[in-house]
Amino acid sequence: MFEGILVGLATVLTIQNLLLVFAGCLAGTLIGMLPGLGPISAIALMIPITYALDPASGMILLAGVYYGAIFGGSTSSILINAPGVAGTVATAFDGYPMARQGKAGKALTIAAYASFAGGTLAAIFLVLLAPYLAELSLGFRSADYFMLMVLGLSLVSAFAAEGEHLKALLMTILGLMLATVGTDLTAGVQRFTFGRMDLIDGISFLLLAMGTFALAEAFMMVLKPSQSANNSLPTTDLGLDRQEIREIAPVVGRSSVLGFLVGVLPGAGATIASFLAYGMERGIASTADKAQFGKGSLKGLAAPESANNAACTGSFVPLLTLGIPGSGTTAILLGALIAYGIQPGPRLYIDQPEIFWSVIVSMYFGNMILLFLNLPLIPYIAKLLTIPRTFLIPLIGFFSLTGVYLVSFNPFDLQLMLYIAVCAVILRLMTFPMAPVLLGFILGGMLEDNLRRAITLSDGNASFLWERPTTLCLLVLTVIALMSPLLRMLMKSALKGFKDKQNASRL
Amino acid sequence: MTVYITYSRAIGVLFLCISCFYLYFGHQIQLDFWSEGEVFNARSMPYLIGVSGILVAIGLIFTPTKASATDAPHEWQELKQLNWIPTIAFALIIGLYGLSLEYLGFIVCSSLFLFCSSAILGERRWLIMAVLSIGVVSAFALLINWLGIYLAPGDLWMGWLDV
Amino acid sequence: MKPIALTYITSLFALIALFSADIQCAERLDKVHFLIPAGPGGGWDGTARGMGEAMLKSGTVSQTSYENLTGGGGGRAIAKLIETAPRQQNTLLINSTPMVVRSLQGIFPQSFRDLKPIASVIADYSCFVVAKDSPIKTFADAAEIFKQDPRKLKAAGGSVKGSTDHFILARALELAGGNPRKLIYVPYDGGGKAMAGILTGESQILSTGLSEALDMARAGEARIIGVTAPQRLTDAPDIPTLIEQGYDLQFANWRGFFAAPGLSDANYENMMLTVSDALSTDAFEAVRKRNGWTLLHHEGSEFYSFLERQEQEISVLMRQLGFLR
Repeated sequence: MFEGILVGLATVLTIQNLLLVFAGCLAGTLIGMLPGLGPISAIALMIPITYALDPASGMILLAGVYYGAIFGGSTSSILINAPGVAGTVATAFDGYPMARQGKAGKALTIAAYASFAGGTLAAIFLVLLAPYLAELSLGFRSADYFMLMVLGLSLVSAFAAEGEHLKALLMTILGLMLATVGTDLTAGVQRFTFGRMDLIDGISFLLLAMGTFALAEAFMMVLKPSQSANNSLPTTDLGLDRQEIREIAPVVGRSSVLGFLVGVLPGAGATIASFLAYGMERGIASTADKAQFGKGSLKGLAAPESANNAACTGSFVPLLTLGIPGSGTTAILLGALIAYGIQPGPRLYIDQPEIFWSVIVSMYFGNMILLFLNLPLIPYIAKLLTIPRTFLIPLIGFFSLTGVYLVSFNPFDLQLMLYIAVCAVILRLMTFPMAPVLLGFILGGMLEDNLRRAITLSDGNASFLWERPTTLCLLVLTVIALMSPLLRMLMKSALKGFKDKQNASRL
Repeated sequence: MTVYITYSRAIGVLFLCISCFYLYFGHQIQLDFWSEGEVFNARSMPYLIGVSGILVAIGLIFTPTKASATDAPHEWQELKQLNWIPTIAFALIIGLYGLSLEYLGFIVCSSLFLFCSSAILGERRWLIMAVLSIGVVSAFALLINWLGIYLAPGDLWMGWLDV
Repeated sequence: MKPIALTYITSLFALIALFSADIQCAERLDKVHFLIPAGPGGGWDGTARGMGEAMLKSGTVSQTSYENLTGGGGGRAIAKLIETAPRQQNTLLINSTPMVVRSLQGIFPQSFRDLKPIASVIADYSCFVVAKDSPIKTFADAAEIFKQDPRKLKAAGGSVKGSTDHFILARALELAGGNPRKLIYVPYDGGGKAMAGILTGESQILSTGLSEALDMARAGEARIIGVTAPQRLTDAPDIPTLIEQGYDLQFANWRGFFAAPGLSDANYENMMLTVSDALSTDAFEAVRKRNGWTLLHHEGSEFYSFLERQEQEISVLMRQLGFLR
């Protein structure tokens, strides 16, 4: 294996390739920052250029573009609450509040380090464990995906402030409702389209995220001008002190493992990974830390960022070892690999080790160059926020509108987004949280599809819920997650009772 | 005991209505004759969601509020202090943007959007506004063009070209 | 003359010059605009961009542009082409078999008759795939299992119920003597996830397009047991056809181009010529090889009657199988 890595390094480490990865990262970051253009579009647009190159150089350019686009998406999430890519929606939950507090530079730095760490850890897992993980990704059936989505939904309490669980639940249901609009994947019938052609393909996640987050935020800034005055605060505070590093290091570690594992599953993906990581971190945080989540918590920013990147690397496991693309991005990459004459699969490792290793090494280089490229740029990127609000707010509006328009080219979507943003503003003014809407929306569709598949596959029996160990495991985890507030309360009262007793006996 | 209409209760009532409508329209979903016999068909999930929506909404309405007698009316008072007029104008501009985008074309329409919304927010440095809005939009359009993404010119100009 | 007026007149002349250049080009198509009813990165997008690349490289045309217009299951792009027909003189809309299926199902009101069919360019045959260690070796094995107990042969597919993936398999099983209405079809969100479905063992057979299946099957985890091509394909000679296995099922999922309705005859001829010119170039051959496409070239009226035939076949099939009432 060590030999393999050396071979890979030798293939990748030429001046031309280094320049290419540099160019790829730069182009990717730029494209990713543009609203609506994520890794899929970035790679699809860059592929024609790579055909002129040899396979290794082409791959390394694409790797740079891929990671660059993801990081670019995080940047717009943090700065203006406009997640350009689904995978970076969770980044906005805490990244944007940090930017509002004048800590945009710091948030970007954390995002860069967390992405890098997530990508690095995942690349190590990929090298060490790829063959075994292929088994894992094939051990996951529709029933398990269904339970995974249920587990994800049970995290909704993670998005609720203390004592406001019903509000969060209501918003989750709203998300679930919106997810059912459009053509039903299983039966092909139209639901809640009201005869409109524009609704046949459903509401896009990007539209919902842009409407509820970016555009609604622009409205809030107009509604409450006093609160946007913070933007003039210095944004030069970039460094992390030792205390902060100690705080987020374990978060990054946990989230990377979780993100990687979720990424390995062909039916889940980076968005789910980042939501799960956010929910998990909030679930296990101490009460004091928990209150910080959603208000600019370092942990809440580091978790989805590292999980997102780790999941993207994880999705290469089924791609390289089984030839299965689990996401839109990996599907395009599969096409590109085959066009280069590289056939992914279990034999790739044996037949063309130099290709296998150069793919992995180039991915890793993409990740590393990205960090070196972006760290010096962060102060300048963060300066964007010092634009006066009379220009900044229109720009945010413009970015979120174009972001949605550039995906569908449908003006109807702009109207729909406006309505959604107006509803979101009203709900936010009435102190209802918005993140659960997105959680319900993204999990709802997959939850229903997988449930219906599982039921069809088990001929209409409910036995799929406990027949297989993986499903049962997830079921138990869900029950624990749902009961945990109750358990914690019981433990507290038991502990208190115990102490009272002790005190009483002491007296 | 007086019942206060808090935010949660207002939204709860609204949501109760939405859930009922949702259930009604969910019941209208057409099924192909294969699915009618299925345990879980295209209507099942909407039923589940609709019913849980009703339950949670009712729960929200009847949750005892912690708010004291003075709090609830106070909650609504806060809304009055917000900057409603520019916000509504901004929303209208966005609506107009969506309606006229394909007619005026991306560059003209977006520049106008940036210019007008700056004006709504109280900016009065006209020259800077004009330069910035046209500059940003043109640079953006150029970038998009360079990436090979096609932006159709507006219908207005197209009609002009045909003559 | 005032300078402003001068500028005005000069620019007017420049504009006129610009348009007359355009009009001259109508003689021979110089630029082509591709209208793609899906986002970047899909099958339609790949075909249109591949075609455009071949046209540019071979010098058939000197300028191409691509417009991705999603929505309405592909219906929005068709509607737009019809609505704005007068100014879509050099637009090629890419489409494929689902267009026929969807207009039969009434998802959108238009059909190929409302457009000007230019040419089909490539074909993607349907195929059936099993996991590498599956006991199913030939299509007869699958049919045997299905006839004994339809619940033992769960069929995965990358598209919704009632799509080509679904009814081609149902038809094949019917030809083998089974009851096609008993087929349990499990739709997944895309071919990749459907492939994962047979590899995990939760479903037994996958019905999908050959080009997508080949990419994944070459990884060695899955086997293709039958393809709906008329004879074995030169690019994949080891895959048996259904016909040679004794099931008379031939089905080509074409991809082709359409022009706006009301196109002048001269322009129509030009478009056909441009496409067929491009197809015969080395540049297209390179693109075709890279993507593993199979050429299927029908032009103009021939393409039209091909479409009519396919529509007829599909509507009979769908009615028999209960997808259409």
